[in-house]
Amino acid sequence: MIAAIGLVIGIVLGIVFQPGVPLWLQPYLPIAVVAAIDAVFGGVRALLDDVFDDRVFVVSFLSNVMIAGLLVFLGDQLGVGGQISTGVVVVLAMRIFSNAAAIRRRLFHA
Amino acid sequence: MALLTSLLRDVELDYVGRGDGTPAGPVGPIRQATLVVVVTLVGLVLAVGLVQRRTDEPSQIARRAALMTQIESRTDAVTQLQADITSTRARISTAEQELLARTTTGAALSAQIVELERAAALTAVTGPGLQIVVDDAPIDASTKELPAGGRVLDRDLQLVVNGLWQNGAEAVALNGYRLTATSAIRAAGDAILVDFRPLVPPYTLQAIADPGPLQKGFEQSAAGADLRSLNDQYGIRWQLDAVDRLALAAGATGPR
Repeated sequence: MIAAIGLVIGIVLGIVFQPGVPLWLQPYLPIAVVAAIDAVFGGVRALLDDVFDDRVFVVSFLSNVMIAGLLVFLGDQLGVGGQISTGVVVVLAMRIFSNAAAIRRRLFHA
Repeated sequence: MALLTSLLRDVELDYVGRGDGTPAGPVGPIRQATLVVVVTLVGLVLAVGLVQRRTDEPSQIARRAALMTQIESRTDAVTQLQADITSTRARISTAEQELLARTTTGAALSAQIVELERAAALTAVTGPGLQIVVDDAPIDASTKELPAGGRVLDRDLQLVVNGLWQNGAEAVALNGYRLTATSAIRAAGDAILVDFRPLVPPYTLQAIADPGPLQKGFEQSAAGADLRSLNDQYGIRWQLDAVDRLALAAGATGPR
C-alpha cells in the first residue's frame, strides 16, 4: 500500500536525480545499501506475518544504519575496518536470507 | 550450532512488530507520514548505492591510467639514476687506482680493491657461460588463462639463482639486472621484483662460468630437479643453453 508506493518513489527519485554522495559518506554507502535491502526484506516478512508495526520498522531501520555506520567508522579508526564491515555484512546477509526464506514459505508454502 | 541458531533467531526478529502476534491497530497520520518518509529513504539509499557503482567506472579507469603513467615515469627516472651511479662509481674507481698506483702499499691495496669489487659484482664481467630462460606455463586454450600454479614465483627464480651460485657461477644476471650480494628477488602480488624493479616474463638468467661443469652441476643439482618437477606439475617452461660470450653489466647498489 502506501509504504510500497513510498519505496518505489524513493527508488525512482534515486535513479532520476542521481544525488551525489559526499566523499566522507562514500565508505558507508555499501553498508547502508545492505542495511536497506535487509530492511525491505524484514518489513515484507513482518507484513506477511501480520506483525508489521510502523514504529518498529522506522526505528529499526534508522538504528541499524546508524549502528552499522558507527561500527565501520570505529573499525576504520582502530584499523580493523575491513574485518568489522565483513562481520556487519555477514550478519545482515544472514538476516536477508532467513527473511527471504520466511517470505518464500509464506507465499509459496514451499 | 547453538550459538548460530540463537544468533539467527535474535537477529531475525528485528523488524517484526510487538512480537505478541497482534496486528497493529490504525495509526495516526503523523506515524503514517514518518513511515512513508523512511520507506522512501530506504528506496533512495538502494537506488543511490546501485547507481554509484555504475558511474564510478570511468573515473576509476582514469585514475588507474594516471597511476600507470606515474609508475612508468618514476621507473625511468630510477633507471637513469642507476646508470649515473654506475658511471660515477667507475670514475671514482679509476681515480682511486691512479692514486694508489703511486706507492707500493697502494698498489697492493688497489689489487685487493679490484678483487673485492669483482666479488661484490660492482664491475662488468664478460665470458662464456649459461643462459636459462624460465617462462610461465602456456595459456590454456579453453579458459584463456594461466593454468593453476602456472605462474613463475619468486621462490622458483631464487632456487635457480642459488643453484647457479652453488655450482660455480662467477656472475649472475636476471633480465639484464646484475645480481649482487645484497640483491633480493621478491614478489609483489603477481609481479616478480629484483631489487624493487619489476620484471616481465620470460625471465632470462645469465651466469658466467665454465659452461660444461656449470651445466652438468646445475642439471644434477636440486635446482635442476626443481625446474623439471615444475615443468611436469605446472607446465612452467624452461630452457638451458651454453653461450660462448656473455657480457654482464656491473651491479648497482639499489635503494635502501
